Amino acid sequence: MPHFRRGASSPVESLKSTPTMLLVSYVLLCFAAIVSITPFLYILSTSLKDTNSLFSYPPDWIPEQLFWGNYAKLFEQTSFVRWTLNTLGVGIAITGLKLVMDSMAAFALAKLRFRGKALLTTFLLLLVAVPIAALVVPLFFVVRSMGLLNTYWALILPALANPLGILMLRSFMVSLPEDLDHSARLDGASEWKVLTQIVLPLIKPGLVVHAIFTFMLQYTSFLWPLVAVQSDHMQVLTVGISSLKSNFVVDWGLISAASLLATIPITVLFLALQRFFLSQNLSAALKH
Amino acid sequence: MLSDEEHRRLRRKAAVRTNLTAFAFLAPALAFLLLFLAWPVASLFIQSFHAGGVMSPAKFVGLENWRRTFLDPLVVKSIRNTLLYSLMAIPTVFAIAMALALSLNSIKVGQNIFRTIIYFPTLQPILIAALMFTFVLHQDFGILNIIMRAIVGEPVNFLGNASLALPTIAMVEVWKGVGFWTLLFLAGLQGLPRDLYHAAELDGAGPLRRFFQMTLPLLKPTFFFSFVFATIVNLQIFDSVFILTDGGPAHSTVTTTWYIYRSLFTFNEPGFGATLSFVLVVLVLLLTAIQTYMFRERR
Amino acid sequence: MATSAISFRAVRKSYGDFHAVEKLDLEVKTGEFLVLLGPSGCGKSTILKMLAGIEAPSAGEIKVDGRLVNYTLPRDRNVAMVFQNYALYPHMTVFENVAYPLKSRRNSRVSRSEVPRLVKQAAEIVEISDQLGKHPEALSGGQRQRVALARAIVRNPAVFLMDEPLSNLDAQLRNTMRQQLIALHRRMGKATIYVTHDQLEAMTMADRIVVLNAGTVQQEGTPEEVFRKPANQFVAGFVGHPRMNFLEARSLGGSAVKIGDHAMETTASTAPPEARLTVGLRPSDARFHHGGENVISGHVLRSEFTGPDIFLTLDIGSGLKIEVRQTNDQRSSSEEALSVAFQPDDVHVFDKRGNRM
Repeated sequence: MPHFRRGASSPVESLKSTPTMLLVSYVLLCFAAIVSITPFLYILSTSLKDTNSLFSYPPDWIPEQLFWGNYAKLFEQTSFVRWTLNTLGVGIAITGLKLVMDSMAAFALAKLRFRGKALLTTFLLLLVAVPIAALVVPLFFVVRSMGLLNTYWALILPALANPLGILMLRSFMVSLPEDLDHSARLDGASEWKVLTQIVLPLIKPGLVVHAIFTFMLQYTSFLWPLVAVQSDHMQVLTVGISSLKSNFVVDWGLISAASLLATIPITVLFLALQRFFLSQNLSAALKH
Repeated sequence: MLSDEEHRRLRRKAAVRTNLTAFAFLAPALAFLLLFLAWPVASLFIQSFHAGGVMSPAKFVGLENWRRTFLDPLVVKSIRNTLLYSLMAIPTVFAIAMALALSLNSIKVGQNIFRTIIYFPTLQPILIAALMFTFVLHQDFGILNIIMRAIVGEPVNFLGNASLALPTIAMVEVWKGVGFWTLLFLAGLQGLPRDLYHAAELDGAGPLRRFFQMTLPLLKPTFFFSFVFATIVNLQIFDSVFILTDGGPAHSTVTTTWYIYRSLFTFNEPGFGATLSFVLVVLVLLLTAIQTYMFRERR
Repeated sequence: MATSAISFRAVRKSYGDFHAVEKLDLEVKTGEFLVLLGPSGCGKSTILKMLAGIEAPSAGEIKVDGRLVNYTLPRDRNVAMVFQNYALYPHMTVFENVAYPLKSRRNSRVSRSEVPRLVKQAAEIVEISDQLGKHPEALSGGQRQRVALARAIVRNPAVFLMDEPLSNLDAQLRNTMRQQLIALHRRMGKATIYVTHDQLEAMTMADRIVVLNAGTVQQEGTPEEVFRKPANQFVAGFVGHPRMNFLEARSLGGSAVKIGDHAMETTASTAPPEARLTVGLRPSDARFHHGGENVISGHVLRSEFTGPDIFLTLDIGSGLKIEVRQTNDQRSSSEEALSVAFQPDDVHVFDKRGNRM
């Protein structure tokens, strides 16, 4: 089969969809949208009911009297605020550190020459395939031997070991014309200046994508924080909220309120930076 | 002219300088990759020959962990469940995502709003998604069971039924993952050469033929990434199991990662956990290698 | 003897089995404008990159101002380069682009306060003073070219390197820029190496041309030498437009040759009788209405009117064809049969291996 390259001159006019196709498409999409959004609305509704009215059948979607007790309890009797701050703090620390380290490593892979470059790139691709979840046992011992269990460092340091970010930034850097960095070197720039003054300003979108990806990965992580940290006041959101469920008597109202609030930070981030949340950046990272 | 000897010396010096510069840029990231990723993989192997270590010092036990791993029926079950779950979840999420991507690609009005809504569940931690589904699936007040009651008259115990629990977990994961894959496939579709489709349309190829003879083959690079990535991620399934069933009922949702976690924290047997982890790493690497080979072969 | 600004001694560059540049010896004096001319892939850009420090030579020595630079970082070579695509930094204004070489140096000889003055001075020379606040994307191709030049001259390097700098401009702009580049070169008085595949650029701009093919130097000389006395068939075919006619011929002994049925006197050195040769005749060397010596006669197969000139294709028998140029004033009535004469000087003779005799 012949190869077709992108960017071949094409008329802007797109393929016309038949009316049947359009109808089928809209029906499918509406259904998907309803399925996607209903659980959110349902826990919103649940979080505003007291436990007794939760079990009434048929359920009232909009409670006659809004009950704010679940939220009050969440803020007063649990460390919810602390968990949120922990998640944000740890997430920002990881994102910042990884941006610096991954930019540097990606720069070496994309723009510098050194022995063993192809081998190292293959090694990183291989590491992508390692299931991190399988590493909790040895990671536990590594972190413990460093005396870092139950500290924020236990949450931050292991998260820095992820090759995907390097490969992602590398693919952004490779797409910059070579002459730019050659020119900068001739103009007198050191490699550090080539990176910071020429390359990084030109891949700002890539940096944002990287930052979002890293932050999301941290924000959604659960297994390692569950293993690494025991103290309640040091937990991240996911682990903290899950601890609400392990109580003997399940407080459904409390959990629904916590779950709903936990969706807010990431939603705000998404609405602000929507165009950078594109998953194809991830796939581009793994192309040679 | 300088002597050859002198040139060799200077060349070596220059090579050392170039390599050192590159190494300086790589060092921080490499240090973390080695300490927190490569070393743990290696130490899995070492730990698999040891017992103890959490409370008491580790001691060498030879092949004891390996013997147990192969004899323990729960190990076999956990691997079987993990593979079974992946076989249910991955094709389903891909099929739905592809249908939605094609739909999004064919409409003009409302593309943005649909995209945003469909992506929304993907943003949430799977843990939050799983917690939300305890509300959706609950026998008494779950929204899905309210619908079930209306249709079949009685609620379904989705998570309490040994034959339903694993498919239900797959359903939750599909719900949470579909937005990601939809946007990935949509980007793939939008990158396809338009001219080709116009030509095919003029040749009288119907939508179905166009899809199977052009779209699917052309999206091969996207599919390659998707299958590899989905396999790596799905074989690690833990969060939703931990929240929704904790392995039950009757071990019907015990997955490999869940068993690894329990062996460390509940059963206090890190050596055994390391052995099982090693098996999981090998399994994932093997499947990734097979997929890479299959996609390379026909390229 | 004064040292050359640039010198290559026995420089080679190979990538595995592929030899991009073979044993290059080359000297460029201060103030000289040297053009590397050759088709794409002939190694001319590799030579430039080795001098700039982008590529490392596999063997040999490269010197700038008498100093060995083989192992020197690009930034310490005192070399400025203008790239084919200009390589302007898109995120910086024109001012920042031009100022970059002054600011990025660690031990800059230029003090901070002098930067604006030097930038303005360079901008004035290339006439972009009113563009300093813009970003490169807001400029035309010609303006970008000038910014790249300003960035190169601002730090007053020992050597200028230019890699096909005019190839992205339209024909008219290329003409003006050619002249301005030469004027700029005279003003700066530095050694310049200019790489191009366009023989017209090479002929009009060069003090000296080095013709390259497949990594080896074919000929080195002034534009006139390269045009009048091409060292081999490759150079003869590459330089000059329209292309030289190559015709199979036999030696008649001495310096005489026979092309088909036509005997010609040449100024070539002697070859044994009956030796197989190739004769090169430039379309523009054909003389009309001469009669007598060194005449080739044939009949017109095709004629192309291009304005000032007419290009005629003649069938000269024995299955041979040649193309000749006729200026409008030489135009005879549309004759069928025609005789053209070539001066012995204008008959280029090449041996079996393509070398000039």
